[in-house]
Amino acid sequence: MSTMNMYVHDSNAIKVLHVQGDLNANTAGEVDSRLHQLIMGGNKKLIVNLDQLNYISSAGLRVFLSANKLMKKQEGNLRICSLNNTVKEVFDISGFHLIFDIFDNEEEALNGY
Amino acid sequence: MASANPLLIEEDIQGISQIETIVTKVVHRFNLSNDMQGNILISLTEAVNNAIIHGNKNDKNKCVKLKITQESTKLAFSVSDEGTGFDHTKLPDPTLPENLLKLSGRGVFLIHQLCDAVTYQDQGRTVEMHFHICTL
Repeated sequence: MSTMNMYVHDSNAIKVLHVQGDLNANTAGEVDSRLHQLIMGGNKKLIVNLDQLNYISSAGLRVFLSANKLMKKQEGNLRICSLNNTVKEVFDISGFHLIFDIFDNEEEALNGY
Repeated sequence: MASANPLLIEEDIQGISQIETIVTKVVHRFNLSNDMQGNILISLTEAVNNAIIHGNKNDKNKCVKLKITQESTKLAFSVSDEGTGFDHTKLPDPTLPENLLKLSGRGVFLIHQLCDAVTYQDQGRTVEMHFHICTL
């Protein structure tokens, strides 16, 4: 059974969304809604921390593309951090390192934000 | 081809939530690495999702079959649907600049990138994904 958890915390007044577990077609809708809510709620700086994400499928990648598009419309910036090897490989081979600001950890993502 | 090899698992798949349990069984059986577990999980999830959505068009009366076979140091995951098939060579490359921001069209690409080999049978209704394993 696919499982996914999310929670948000404030770090230096910037919202950090933690997505944990599996991000696939079964769970992508929930993450998509949460990201949409955070962006439309006026957060022009947003970090997504994936340190506890086991794996991501193409449905999960779509969520981040969609969120990035929405964030750009709001003239904001989305940062993603703490990808494990499996998730990083999927991001890299999909060319997402060319689209997103990706950081090794949350501290680096917060730096200069 | 693969059917002549020892069959490890054969199941009708209703949804991708079944995949994780099956992959976990295979990972434990062959003591596979975390990286390989991730690659198998993503590839199989993509293949099953494609079979349900694009192959069977979400028709619950149609089946998606998964077969896992072992041939020496190779595991083969075969996913079959009851759709009209497709030609994987006609799919656009999602990493081309003009496709990079498109929301869909990455599933088959990910499968090809993460598996050691991929073959298609029955006009694309069956995709077979191969992974080389070290431990037996």
